[in-house]
Amino acid sequence: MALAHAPARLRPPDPAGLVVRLRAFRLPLSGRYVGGRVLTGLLAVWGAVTLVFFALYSTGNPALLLVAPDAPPEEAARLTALMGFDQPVPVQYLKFLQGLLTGSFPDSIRYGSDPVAVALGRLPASLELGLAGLTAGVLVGGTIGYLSATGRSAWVRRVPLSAAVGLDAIPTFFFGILATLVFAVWLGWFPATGGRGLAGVVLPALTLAVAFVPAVARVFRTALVDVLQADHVRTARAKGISHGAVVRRHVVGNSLGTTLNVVGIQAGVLLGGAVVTESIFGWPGIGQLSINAVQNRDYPLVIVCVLVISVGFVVINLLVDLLAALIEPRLRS
Amino acid sequence: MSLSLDTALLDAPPLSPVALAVRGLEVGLRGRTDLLVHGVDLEVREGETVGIVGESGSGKTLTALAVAGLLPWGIEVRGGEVEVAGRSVLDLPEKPARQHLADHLGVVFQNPTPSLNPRLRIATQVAEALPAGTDRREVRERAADLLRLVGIDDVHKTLHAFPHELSGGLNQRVVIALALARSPRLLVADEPTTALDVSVQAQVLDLLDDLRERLGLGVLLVSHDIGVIADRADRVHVMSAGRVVESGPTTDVLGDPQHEYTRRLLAAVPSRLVRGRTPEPPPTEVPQVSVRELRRAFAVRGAHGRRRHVALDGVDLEVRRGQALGIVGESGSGKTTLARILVGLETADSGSVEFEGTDLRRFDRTQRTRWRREVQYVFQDPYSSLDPRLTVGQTLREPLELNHVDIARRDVSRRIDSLLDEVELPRDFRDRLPSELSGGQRQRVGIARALASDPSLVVADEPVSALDLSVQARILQLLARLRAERGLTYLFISHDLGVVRYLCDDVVVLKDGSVVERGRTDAVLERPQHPYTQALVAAVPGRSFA
Amino acid sequence: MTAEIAGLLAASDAAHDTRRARRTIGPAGIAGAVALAVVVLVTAAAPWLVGDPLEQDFLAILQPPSPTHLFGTDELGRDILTRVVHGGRSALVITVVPGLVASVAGLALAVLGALLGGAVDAIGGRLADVQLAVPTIVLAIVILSFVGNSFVPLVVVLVLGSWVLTFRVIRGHARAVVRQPYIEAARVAGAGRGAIAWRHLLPSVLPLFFVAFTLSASAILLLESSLGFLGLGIQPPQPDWGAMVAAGQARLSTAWWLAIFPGLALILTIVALQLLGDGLAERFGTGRAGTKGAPR
Repeated sequence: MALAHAPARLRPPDPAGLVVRLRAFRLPLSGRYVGGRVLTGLLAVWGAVTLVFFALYSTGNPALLLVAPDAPPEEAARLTALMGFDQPVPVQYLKFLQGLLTGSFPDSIRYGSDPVAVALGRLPASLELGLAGLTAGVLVGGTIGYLSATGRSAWVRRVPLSAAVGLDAIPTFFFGILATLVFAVWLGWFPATGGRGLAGVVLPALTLAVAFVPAVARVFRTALVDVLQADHVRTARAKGISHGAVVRRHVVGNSLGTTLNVVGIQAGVLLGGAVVTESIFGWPGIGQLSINAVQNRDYPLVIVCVLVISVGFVVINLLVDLLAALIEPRLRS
Repeated sequence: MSLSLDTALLDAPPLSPVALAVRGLEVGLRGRTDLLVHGVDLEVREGETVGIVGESGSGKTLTALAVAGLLPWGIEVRGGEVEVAGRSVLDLPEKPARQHLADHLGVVFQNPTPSLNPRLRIATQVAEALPAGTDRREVRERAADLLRLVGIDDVHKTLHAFPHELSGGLNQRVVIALALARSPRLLVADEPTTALDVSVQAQVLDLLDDLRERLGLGVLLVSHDIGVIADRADRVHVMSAGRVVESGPTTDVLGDPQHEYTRRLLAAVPSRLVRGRTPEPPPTEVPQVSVRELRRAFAVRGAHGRRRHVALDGVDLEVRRGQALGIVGESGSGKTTLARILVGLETADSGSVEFEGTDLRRFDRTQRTRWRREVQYVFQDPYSSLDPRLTVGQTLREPLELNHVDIARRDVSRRIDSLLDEVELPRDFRDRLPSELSGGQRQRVGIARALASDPSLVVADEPVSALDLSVQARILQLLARLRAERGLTYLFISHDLGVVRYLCDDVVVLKDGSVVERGRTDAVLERPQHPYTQALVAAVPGRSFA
Repeated sequence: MTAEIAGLLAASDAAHDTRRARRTIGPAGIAGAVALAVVVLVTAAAPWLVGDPLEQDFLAILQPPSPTHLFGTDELGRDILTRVVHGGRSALVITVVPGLVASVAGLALAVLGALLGGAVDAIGGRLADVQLAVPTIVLAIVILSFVGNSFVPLVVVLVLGSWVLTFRVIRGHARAVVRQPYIEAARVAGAGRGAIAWRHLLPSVLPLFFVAFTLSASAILLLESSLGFLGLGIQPPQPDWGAMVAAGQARLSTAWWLAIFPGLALILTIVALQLLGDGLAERFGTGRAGTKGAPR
């Protein structure tokens, strides 16, 4: 039967077949789906912004917070008029939003310059730490989840998982301190704070990873166990393909979608962990900047930091959602 | 086929090669000594279909899975021999055994859609099943050929689709294609059509027959449906409690059963059920429920965005007091939606439902209360329709307390006793939880709950389809007896024409939300007028033997 | 897998694997309950067990652990053990109050949503989405830095950061229950929404509520101590475990006991809550998988 079709490759391709093949290369996500996700994300950013406004507003005249405490009163008055803080609340709110959209913020009190530039300057360091932590967490959590679902002996199935679940009870900041004490102070393998480069990133990344290793391990395990019992895995076994291929293509592949979704939800944990981790290790990222800004009462900078973190969070979630939908066709509708 | 044994031997053509030989197969739970399958022997030759029939717990599916080497983790083969294509597989190490089975035996599973990986396109899944070393450039053509072989027309579209975008029948064809990918000599089909509608079921079984004939395959067909086995199997093994109790040529075993169990099983087939002694009171001419121009549509989220599914497309119906009216149709015909609207679990988009002359929507408070008492519902699934935390007594108490039934507090307990008596359950069952009851017992509780408020109309949606044949027969007899004793009106929803024929005077045939035929049950089922009804009746398995 | 075989396997599991069929919260759960009871008793009896957490002793600053100061002393000569025990008081208060508020709010929104469906359910779901889309730590920074970090704003932050946990656990279950045919059977039997909630939904959801409350409490404690560590929690000089760890971090190489003991107390309490929560969850047949998205 196959022979009859062999010369087909020599003939010009039939239009129907070509269409089918072309369709296979199209990004299999509808604009509607992506649009919906982006809209939810924008809604979240809007929520964060609104929260900032009302928190600011609840302090009385926000202008007083947005200028340096030792600034002349004219400066506060100028800002009050500029941001419209002397007008009715809805107008103020609109002016506030307008300010955000046009990117015009009052200068950072501590740095005396555009807070957006200050915050964005710290972004690369945060991204470096975040990526390193994410990679470490996913690798460790994924391995533990995999072992606990497929391990041959009860020990392999239970011990790593129990350890991971135990990690869940250790606050990020305390793990960071323990790690510093053991690996930096006692053993001296890695720098305690202020280190950069590969050696400098190890402890912060591990600390950050600890925050979501348990969740990744647990969810990946549950997903694997569910899929292992699914009917289609039996079909795959019946096909006679190797055990490795069944696990790779049919079990792990099908477990990634749900796991990714949870990783997306954990993005908040990652960001919260990043703020704490940066502040333990003196990592010059946006998390540390925001905590310092709070301590310095540098409110313009606080607002910008919150904005950048929220947008980052939304972007992470968006990427994860789209990735999950790419892996799992049923999620697309 | 009805030749006596010795002449059959003399006239028999030279026997075709043995595709599968099972000797003394024993299967049990890991870590336990008792067996689930006790020493099963069977043989399948190329070109023949061998059936295994039995109720749940009979070990038929375990036998099939053990043969295919696909027992779930925790269940293992304890003893015996399985020979596939002349080679004993149980002695082989795992890997070569798996390889040998994959090359010589194809498997067709019960639930087609979950049997396919939801994440991969059909093309990928078919390609995977092709023999190792298939030329990569040929894969697509080979996959297309396989789909054509199982009677799929739009091959390219199917190859590109995901399983959830295809119908159950189409997916089952794909699963069969997967099973055939390595040109095996034997197909093991475990309840291949149980999850499918009657008409689709017939098509899939025809396909299996056709493949058997064209490719000379041996087929081991496992089914709970005696009709399917009667139509399709050359020889049959009847299993009960892990043992083969009777086997032989299908016509012999089903025509002249020797074993007591086989006889009981055959007697429980709905079309052979004998009605009870008490004659039902003749239905009156008083209309109890009138349905006019009933329409209902649902928004469905499909693979390609939202669309509207029309469940009911203008249905007119009248149920007279004392009548037993059957509603038949396949899935998607709207029969369940109709039942749910009648009992108030769903509302119609347009049209009207009148109960004793008053529109449901115009009820005042007293009328509503009375309607609530008078119209009751028996659910399909006896497992999920009872609150797992309530005892039988508490479940039966609920309608007595909530429906303002005129009953004194101290009489409630006595009423519960009499309800249990009526559905033939021991009185001390009132303290049991649903988890302590069997499926048939639960369904009896469900019926008792429906009777608690002394209804005049009982709407039953497939009340026996989740039950084993013998349990189903006893529940049907119970329903018939209750109707006679209480003078109930039944609206009985079923996909099973035999069940409807047993219980109902009149029948309405629904298709795509519209009534296509109605009339006396015997008349409609014996001389169907509408082409759809004709197809439906023709598709019912086991006509030859019923 | 057919239902029949699944049933067989479940039966065999029940016989072999006591974890599935057990009627108690299990040894780990009991250990958690006992540990939690000890923590509660010790902190409740703090005034009688230990001295004043603010009492300074400049003759004994930065003492390592010794029989007189079991956990050592800090740079003001304050006894660490005393401060750890007193820190437990505020930790328990700041855990239980928002834990109760958050669990009840989550329960109410979830049950109402499942019962009434439609807009109510959609609003609850949307609120949870937005809540999850605003990282709790950012929320805390905004509220606590602008509004100030006194008790009420702190509780508000912790409630906002944890109600979704209860909501999601209970909502999933409640929605599944409401779709069960036995709820429809109750409707046919004449039950209105109130009767369904009272007779079927609440009894079914209640065990989960305790699970969710316990696990929320552990999540809140984690979050609160993180805020304390960042200087956004309870203000000094009142002892707070997170803040004590932060204060000890600078002297980690010379006086490790400053940071380690409050941290261990924190871990003990969180472990106790989680063990108890997991025990309850297994007892009532629900996994911890539902607690994904727990804030830190």
